[in-house]
Amino acid sequence: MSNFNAINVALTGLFASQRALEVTAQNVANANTEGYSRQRVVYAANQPVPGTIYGTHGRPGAGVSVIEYQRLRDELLDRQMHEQLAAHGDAEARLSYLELLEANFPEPSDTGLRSRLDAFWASLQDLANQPISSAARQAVVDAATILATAFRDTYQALDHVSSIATVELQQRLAEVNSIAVQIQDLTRAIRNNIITENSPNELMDRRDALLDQLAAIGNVTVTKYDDGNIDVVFGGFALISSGTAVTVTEAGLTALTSGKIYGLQQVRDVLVPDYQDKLNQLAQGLISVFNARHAAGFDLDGNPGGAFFAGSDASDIDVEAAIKADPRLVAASKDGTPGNGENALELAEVRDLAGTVAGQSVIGFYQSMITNLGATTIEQRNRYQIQEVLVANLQSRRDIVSGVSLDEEMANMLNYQRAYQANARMLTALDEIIELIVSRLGKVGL
Amino acid sequence: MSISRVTQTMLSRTVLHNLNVLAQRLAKSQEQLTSGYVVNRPSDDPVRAFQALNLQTELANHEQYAKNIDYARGWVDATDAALHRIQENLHRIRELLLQAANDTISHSDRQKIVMELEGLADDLKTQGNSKYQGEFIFAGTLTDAAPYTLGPSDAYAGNDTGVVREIAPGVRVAINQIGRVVLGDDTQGLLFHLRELITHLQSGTPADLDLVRNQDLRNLDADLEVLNQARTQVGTLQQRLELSDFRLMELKGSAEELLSKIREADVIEAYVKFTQQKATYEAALKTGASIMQPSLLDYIH
Repeated sequence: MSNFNAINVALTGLFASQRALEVTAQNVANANTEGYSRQRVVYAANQPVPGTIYGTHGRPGAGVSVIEYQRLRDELLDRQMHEQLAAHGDAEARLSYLELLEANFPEPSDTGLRSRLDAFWASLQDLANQPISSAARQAVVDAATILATAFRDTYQALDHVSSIATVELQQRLAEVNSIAVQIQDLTRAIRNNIITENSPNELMDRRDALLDQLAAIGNVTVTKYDDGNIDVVFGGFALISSGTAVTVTEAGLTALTSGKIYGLQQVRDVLVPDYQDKLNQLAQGLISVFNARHAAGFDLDGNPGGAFFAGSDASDIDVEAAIKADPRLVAASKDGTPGNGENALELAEVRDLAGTVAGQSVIGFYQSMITNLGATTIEQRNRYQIQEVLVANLQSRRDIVSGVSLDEEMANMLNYQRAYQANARMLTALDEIIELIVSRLGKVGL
Repeated sequence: MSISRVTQTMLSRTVLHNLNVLAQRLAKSQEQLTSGYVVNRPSDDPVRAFQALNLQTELANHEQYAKNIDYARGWVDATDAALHRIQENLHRIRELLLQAANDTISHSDRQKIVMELEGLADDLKTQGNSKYQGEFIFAGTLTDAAPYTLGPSDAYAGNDTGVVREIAPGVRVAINQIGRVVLGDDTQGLLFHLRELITHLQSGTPADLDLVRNQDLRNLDADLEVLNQARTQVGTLQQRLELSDFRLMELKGSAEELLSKIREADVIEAYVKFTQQKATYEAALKTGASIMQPSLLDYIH
């Protein structure tokens, strides 16, 4: 037996323990780092050096070596995570814009369209009470102007919601392209590290964190290769092929089915237009039925009524300029006599007249619209909350695999510390043996 | 889920997530308590929001109909007061008629009576020109011009159309009395009969005085009957309006109560809920702190 060989063996043990302690230190240091995957040292016993010069049994093993810093990560979980993050991003985008949309319909309150409609109705009733009163006529014109303004303001506010969504969508696209470039750079570094046999673990963590970010923005399909290369398909667009990023535009997203951008598209193309359309229907119904009834009446001078509302939908509804200029033109009379206010009553009726807007009355349609908005928001809120839980669950499962447990690391630390101590003790023992041979052997009688 | 390993991030993540959920609930309770409303936006409770919208419109209706009724009552009261005055004048005319029809009365005294009767004719027309809030109430729907002119002409410038007001959804009532009916004009009714009477008294021939005693008296009694009928109508309308007003107040009260039940937070309940949530939140904070702190680190030296 060669003592010198044993020294080498003990040395490999010493080194191995040192590496392991380093890995433990790295794990502990990153216990709270988002996206960090814990690592583990994988040992293998070294093959003995060949040769049998000392006897028939040959040599024992040549110590231990570190063959890998294993990164604990479940790719299947990652895939599930990507799907759920996309659904989460979609729900989040829709919910936040729905809440914005909802804020433009402040109901139930005394400031929403409902109260404007009711105030307009009341002003017409007042006019029926005092058809020749110029104050009552002015009040009708004022209430109608406020109502028309409320329609236009709400419509424009929805336009604004849509344009914010569009701006965010562009920002998200820019983010996607920036992430793609980062992934490209990281992939190059990872491949280099793999070729030069350096650990790519931390780079891979960073790349996976970026993939998570990407997944939240749109549905991704990720294919990873052993050489560190990666393919990413984002919303049907080959964003990264063999590690090279390609700039994406909205038109390129041919198979976008989920994620924040998808949610934003839905807000811009479906949700907001849907409510704008409802507002338009409401305004159109009001304008046509009200104007028809107004034309059937007579103004204070006994002339047939003209159009009361100008414009064609919620975006441009207004009170006719002529009526604004001269409230005498409000056709309150049914028979042309000034004291008759029955046409004002007919006009007031329009609010509650079934069949004015899509088979409903103006007020009924508006009430359904608000109920529908509330229900839609709740639906999205539930969807979002479910996604929150699903993502949190997956995150926990990922933590089980990849997260750092300080208890475990402390136990490992003790293990490796002891192993280091034992190896050091071994060296001391061997050193003593060698010292015995070198210094004291052959000194009999000296 | 079988948990094989419990890691640091997992613990903090779970604690954080739960704290978030609790804090959100707490914020919701707080909003209800500080705003006083359970439904602050449609999505807080779409059904309740719908009911609240409905009730708000209903309340607006009640308020407006109360206003309409108030206005109609004002009009009808003004009508009643004018009719009352007309009735009194008619009684006075009848008295004067009986005095003047007496054969023993001197011609000059009869002319004094004629003068008083002419004054009464003007007073009748003044009543016929009564206004309520700027509108002539006996002029049919031609409410912007006086129906009668004082002086010799008794022509009626109004029309016979009803002034219609809505006192409940779809319930419309005519609230006016037509001047031509209650006062007449230059061809019929009270004013016409009064002019006939004056003519007869002015001539003072026995034949005319005979007409005064018979035909004119009958005519005036018939006019009095018309007035009585008109006053009965007005009285009935007053009662009806009063009743509607009373019913409206009741409806308004119950709608208000229902709206507050639907929309407003029950303060006691909300506060109890808030206190419970606050306690849970604090407990979660404490538990979180005590779970996240210890590790093997605390026990190895």
